[in-house]
Amino acid sequence: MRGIDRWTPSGENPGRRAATKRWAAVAGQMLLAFFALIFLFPGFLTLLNSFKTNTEIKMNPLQLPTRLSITNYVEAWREMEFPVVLANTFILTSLSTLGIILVSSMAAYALVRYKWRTSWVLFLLFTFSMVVPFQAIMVPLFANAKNMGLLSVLGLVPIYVALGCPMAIFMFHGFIKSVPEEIEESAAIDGASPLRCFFQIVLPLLTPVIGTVAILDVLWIWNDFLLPLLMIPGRTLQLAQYRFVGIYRQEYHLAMASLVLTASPVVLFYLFMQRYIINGISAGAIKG
Amino acid sequence: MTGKKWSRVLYFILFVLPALALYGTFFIKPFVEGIQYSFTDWNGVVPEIPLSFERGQFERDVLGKLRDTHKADYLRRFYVLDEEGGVYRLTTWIEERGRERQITQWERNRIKGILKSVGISSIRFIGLENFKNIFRTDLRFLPRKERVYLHNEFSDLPSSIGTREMRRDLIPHLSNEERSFVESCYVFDEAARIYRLRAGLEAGERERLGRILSAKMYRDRLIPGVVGFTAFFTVCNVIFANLLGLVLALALDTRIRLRNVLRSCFFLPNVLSLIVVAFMWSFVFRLIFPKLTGIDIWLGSPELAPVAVVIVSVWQACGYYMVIYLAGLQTIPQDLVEAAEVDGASWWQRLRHVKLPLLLPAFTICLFLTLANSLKCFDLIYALTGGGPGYATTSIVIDIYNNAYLQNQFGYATAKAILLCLIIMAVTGLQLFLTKRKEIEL
Repeated sequence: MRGIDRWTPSGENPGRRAATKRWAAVAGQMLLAFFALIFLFPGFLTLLNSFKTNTEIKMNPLQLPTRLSITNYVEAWREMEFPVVLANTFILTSLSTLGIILVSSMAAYALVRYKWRTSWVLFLLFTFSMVVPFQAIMVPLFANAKNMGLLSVLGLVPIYVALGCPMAIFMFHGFIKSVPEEIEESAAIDGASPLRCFFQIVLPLLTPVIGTVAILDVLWIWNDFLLPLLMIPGRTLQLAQYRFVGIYRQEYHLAMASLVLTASPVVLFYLFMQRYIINGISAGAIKG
Repeated sequence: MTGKKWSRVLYFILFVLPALALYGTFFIKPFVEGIQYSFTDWNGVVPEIPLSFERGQFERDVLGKLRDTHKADYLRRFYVLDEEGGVYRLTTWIEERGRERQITQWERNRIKGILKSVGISSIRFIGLENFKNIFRTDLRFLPRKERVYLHNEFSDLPSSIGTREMRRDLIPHLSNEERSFVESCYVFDEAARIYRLRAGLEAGERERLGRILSAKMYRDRLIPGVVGFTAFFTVCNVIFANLLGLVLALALDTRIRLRNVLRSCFFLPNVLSLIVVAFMWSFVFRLIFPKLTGIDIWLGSPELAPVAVVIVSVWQACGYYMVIYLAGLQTIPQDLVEAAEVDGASWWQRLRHVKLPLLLPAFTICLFLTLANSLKCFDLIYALTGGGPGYATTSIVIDIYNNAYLQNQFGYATAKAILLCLIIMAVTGLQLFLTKRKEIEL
């Protein structure tokens, strides 16, 4: 609704037109909300049926559960070894993300601030990997990792850091370029070493990009499937989920409960951080 | 001054080295090795250096041919004659200065080099053979025609044949004499628009009819193959994910009250892992879709499984593109849209001539991401259909995985992956070039 009352070109009554417009907006809102409900239907279906027995599901998957029993959850929790795989995934994701942030911010800083030809060549070398599909390095990477004895949860950390750093370097690079050099220069004159300069002055300035990189990498590593499938079969959350549903394909009730279990940590993370996640992702996409 | 320069170099190395070392070990090295392997017949099972040699072969073909005694001694350190005295075995644990240790990668490479110099190698260099085989011998890869016979010699004669089958799949393949014979046995029923088998045929006639039907009633069907499915999936995914993302973004780009809640809802599938998404949908396809559409089998049907994969993929991805389009819409100055409105531009005109051209940068990004992601999509298809039924939903990426880990053709699989890499570079490069040019034009 605009403040100025004015005649529309067609000569209609502007008040009436605004009213129809408002009705159209409300109708549009309802339609969109309805569509959102349909959109999330697979999620509701899974949640709903995770409380029922298998026969109840097969009879009518849409019926509300008669009782809130958590027996399905207890069984899925035990069979998936949920605490173990959750801890594995948590350790892998957090260590890798920390590693990526530390290693890439340092590299990006040097590549921006030391304006040599080498810096430019190295930057191109890093960004090159973003067009190479993982399958092109999958087989030799596995052979190398096996030779180096890296087929364990902790062994995957350096691999994730290596595969994640190009994207992170790219984003840090773009941001550091816009950070003025003067503060660092004056700190250097006061006798601060470049290391101290980086950790005490530059790193705190990078917080917004660190947030974006952290969110992108946490979601990527937490949800990643193929790399752990090759290296540590069955030991992360997604792999345990895959194996579980493979075994209990016909036992809908257990499979649904396990899906809710697997999805819940990331959904909770999303519910609390949604604003940061959505902003981070759109920032990441636009800069990446 | 030179001292300062050196300290600068030192600090540069200090900063870059961690990233570069990891990147070199886990990306550059495998990538270069991958290119090497793509020219070999490495199958991944045979170890790179033989684990054992027959005694005679080792002494004659290896030690006998080595001119350099140092090299022969080097090999003898690692290949030890076993107790029975018939076989030389590779010892992976050697004793050095009183301590046992495993042999290192460097030593393995040296052994490989020495053995190669006398012509023993488990990996054969086969040049471009892998790349040629992708197109020549791999029946699954390229789209091809397949003949489907509609009648089996050993089953009973069909009591009726549809007009389409009769006129398209049978009559054109028959000689005149056969044609009149078939038409005398199958009589056209005007009312039902169907050809019905005449009653009272003799045994000889029945036999002849069965032979003709089994040999001549067929249809050539196009099997999309791996490339066909990948193209189908990519095109559908790019179109529908972008379209849905754009529509949702336009719908949410108003000051409606539910805006943030709805945005979060539509984005939610994107944070779930593709494994969870695939399994959730597999239950929807098995429990709900049959009742909704009346078609019982979705994921098991070669015609519908590709559609199912596209549905799930679009559902999962559209929220992501919606967010990018929303960010793009927010950069459009509001007074520009209002000015158009004052000038009497309709909703569609405002969209077509004001909003869409200004959205072009967002469109470029989304198109790039959808293209690259669809060509690389693995988890979703792997968990949803496993590439089946048959290979109806096998994308190039799944095919590479199968080649490598089910058929142990590591060299061949890597060759395919290199090819995919080139395809991705070409497709996305072309797309970026075209849309960037369009952006500049505006």
